[in-house]
Amino acid sequence: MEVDKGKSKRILRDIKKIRQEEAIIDVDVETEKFVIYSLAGDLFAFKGHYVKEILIPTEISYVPGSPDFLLGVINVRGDIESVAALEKILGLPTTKTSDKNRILLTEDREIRSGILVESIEDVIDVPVDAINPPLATMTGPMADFLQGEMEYRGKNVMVLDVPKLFKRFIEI
Amino acid sequence: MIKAASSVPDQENIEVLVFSVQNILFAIDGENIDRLITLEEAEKKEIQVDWFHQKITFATPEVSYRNPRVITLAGTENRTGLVIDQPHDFMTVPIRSIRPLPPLFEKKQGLQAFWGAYMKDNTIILLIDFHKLAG
Repeated sequence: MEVDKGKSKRILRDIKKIRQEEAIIDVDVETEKFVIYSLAGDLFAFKGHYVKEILIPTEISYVPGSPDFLLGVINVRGDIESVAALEKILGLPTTKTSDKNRILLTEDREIRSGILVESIEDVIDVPVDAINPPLATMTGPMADFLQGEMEYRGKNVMVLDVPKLFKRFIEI
Repeated sequence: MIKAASSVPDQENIEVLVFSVQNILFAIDGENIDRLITLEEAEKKEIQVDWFHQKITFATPEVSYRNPRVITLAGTENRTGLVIDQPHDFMTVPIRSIRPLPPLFEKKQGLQAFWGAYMKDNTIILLIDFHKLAG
């Protein structure tokens, strides 16, 4: 009987071919984390990497002489952090006080500040292509900070640009 | 023997005068204060006084004082004073426990007199530079 010297090689090649055919092509969808929150009845979001912590509000100590949008300072485990009222910048009604209120400790480069929101809706991963550019026709204070829009449970969510907000915080 | 460089400040504590205006606690370094006197004494000594709320803007237009006292700035001729309210007492504050104010406050005009904060029993006390406030 003739010995098939190339048998193992052939089998291995066949196996590889079968496996290749069976392989599920795994398509990586690029996603980004967002923190969705409500403010004055509307939904907004920050990109997740800007949000360092979500805090339950403690007593906010007012600092006299500070501009309207700065509500004061809070104690975060021994450090002092500022708390800003985003609605003053966006021209929205004052945030309703409730036990659902949260402070988003937000950071971009050397600036860090808490931002008081009505409630946190969700923290989710969103496909990058699900973020739509803001409407070109949008006007008003919000238009300056709108980075994009997306849908969440059938509702429109406005994605705000944290560096632009911080820039405004400093300018005021 | 070579002595290692240390980041520990020469002075470990400061003595501050704590007072409150509109239920907000403030503190001024005791070294900056020459005298703590009544309004009547200040008037007798012809010391010109500024009220605290004239130097620091409060959110409420009306600021009431319950127990006003005048402090005078050390290192000056004591011709000007600052009216504060409800001076508590001098308190020792460890320098290591003083926290800087957040960046948004540091960059704001009108807030330069605040140089830090100290927490006592979960209450924030704002530290004021008397020289900057008087200047």
